[in-house]
Amino acid sequence: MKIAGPQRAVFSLVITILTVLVLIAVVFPVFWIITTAIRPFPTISVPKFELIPKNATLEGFRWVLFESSFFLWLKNSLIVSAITVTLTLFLTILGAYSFSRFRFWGKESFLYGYFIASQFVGAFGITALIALYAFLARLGVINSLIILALIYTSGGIPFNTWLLKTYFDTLPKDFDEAALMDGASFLKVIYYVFLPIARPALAVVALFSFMGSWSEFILAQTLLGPENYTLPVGLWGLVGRWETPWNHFAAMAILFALPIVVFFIIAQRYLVAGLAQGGIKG
Amino acid sequence: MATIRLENLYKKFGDVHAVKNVNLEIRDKELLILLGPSGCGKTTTLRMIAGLEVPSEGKIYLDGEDITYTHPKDRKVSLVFQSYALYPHMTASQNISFPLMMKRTPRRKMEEQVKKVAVLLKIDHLLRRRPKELSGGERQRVALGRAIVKEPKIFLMDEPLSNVDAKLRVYLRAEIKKLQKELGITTIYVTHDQVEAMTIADRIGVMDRGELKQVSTPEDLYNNPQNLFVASFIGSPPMNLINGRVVEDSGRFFFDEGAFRVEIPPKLQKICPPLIGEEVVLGIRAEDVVLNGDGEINSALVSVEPLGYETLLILKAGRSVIRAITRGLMPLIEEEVQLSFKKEGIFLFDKKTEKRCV
Repeated sequence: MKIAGPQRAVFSLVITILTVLVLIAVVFPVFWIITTAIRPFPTISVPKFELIPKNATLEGFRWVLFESSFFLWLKNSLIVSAITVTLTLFLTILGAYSFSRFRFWGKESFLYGYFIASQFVGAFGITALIALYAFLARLGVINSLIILALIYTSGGIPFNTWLLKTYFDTLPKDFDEAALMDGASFLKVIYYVFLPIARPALAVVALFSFMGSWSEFILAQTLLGPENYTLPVGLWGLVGRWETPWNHFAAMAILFALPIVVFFIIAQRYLVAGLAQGGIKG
Repeated sequence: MATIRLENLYKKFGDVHAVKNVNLEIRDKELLILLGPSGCGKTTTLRMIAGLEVPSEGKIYLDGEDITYTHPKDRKVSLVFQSYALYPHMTASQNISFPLMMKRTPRRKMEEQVKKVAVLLKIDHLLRRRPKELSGGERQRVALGRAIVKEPKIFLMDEPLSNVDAKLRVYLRAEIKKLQKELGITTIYVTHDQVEAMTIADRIGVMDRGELKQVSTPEDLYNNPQNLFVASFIGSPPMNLINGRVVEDSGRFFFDEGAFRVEIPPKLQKICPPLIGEEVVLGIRAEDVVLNGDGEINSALVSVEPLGYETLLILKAGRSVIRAITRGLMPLIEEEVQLSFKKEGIFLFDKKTEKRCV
């Protein structure tokens, strides 16, 4: 579309205004939660707008770091997420490579099944919560971080396998065949050739599975006891029946969100497309 | 010493016969080219030798040992891909050393070997670059380096020059031939470019629709095509193929196109009696068509294609289009031209079997 003269100016103005509005909508909650975290009192709203609250204090953060069980919950969350991300990557890489490269009996049906599962497995986990609870209780594996991580992993596998398979499909078969001719086994092909090339897709899978397991609440809250609480459950625990210390809540919410930001920054380095360019001509 | 023998080789993909009953022996230190149009089964044959496809039927022998079902990595065979297939995340040096790394070669030895190959291919100044920082010709050399460093018994090349520009291709094909002779590695090279095949091959195997049509030296394929396909595929411009019948007139045999007659040369006269009345194809190369005033064939000039040193004339005689190459006489378009065929240049092919009548 080409727009000229005054029309162009109007168009550009409208775009700018819309951009600013979207920016405000995105940034405002962050701003709100930061100002709440550094207020000296536990109220979520104040009568007037202030950029930096009066008598700003880091008391909320001090309380979270030194008086709450923050580090216990952080440790639990890190364990669950680390297991989930590692297992998800390991299983989806193998699954996606097989679906992308091998012909085997039932391949289409399995892929279809994965697709269906990727659409509702999250919701299924919630609706089948009671059954899942009963099942795990019968097995005696309730209140286990590892079991929770396994559930998260199984929930993430269908979607992430599809994601990675689609990416692997775009890599020319010549890479595999060249490596096979050079003496590599299938596992070595994956390790030496596919993984380095597929880093952008792997970063996305890692990011998705980390975010999913890091912030999941309902399963964690149902299946875990207090000593195994993850951060979302711990955070929810701050919400009182009669009153909630919102400054503490906000401070913990910020610390809770921080690893996701850090993880995103790390993953972003690998989210660079175009790595596959150059090796194949034609 | 490395010889390859293909025995009754077949490959089917579903209902499609990609390769049909190929029997071929590739001699030690030979550069054999599989030549044919796309879809003729030449690449599939090469991939079966590489171990990337399993034959539906038949056997492959390397130095007399059956390798039909051997894993690619255990065949002592290197393949240069049409696409180069260089690993994009590795430098040229890492690409070349990859096969050695898979064999767990000690680092020092690996570096030595990579250096040696790089010097041989004149790419030692490019070793730290990644594929995307290399030109087409340089990538091709790195791909060759990766194939050579394994010290294979057999070299397989799948249209290795189809992605480089015309000028570089001429240079690189000479380089490949020189390199192959220097290294003395038995090589099977696939291409659809008959000029490429004619210039570098020791022998050429011409394939069509999955079948091996003829295997011989470039000169022999040109001078003695055994069937219509080879006659039409080898040579530029292709051989003139004229449909007609064999007729007898007062004890002598003629080829009758309908609009003109050509006397069949004495050496072919003896095979004519059973062909009388049969449909045959007369083959004559453009350089064996003579333009002269007293020729027995009347034709009209349709177009002229100057090739520089000589000129290609396209003529119409009866129902047939005839190409002729000339350096002197230059008739005008639509002018009537008298032609004759050099007797020694005439071939006869059976139209039904497409085989040469001898």
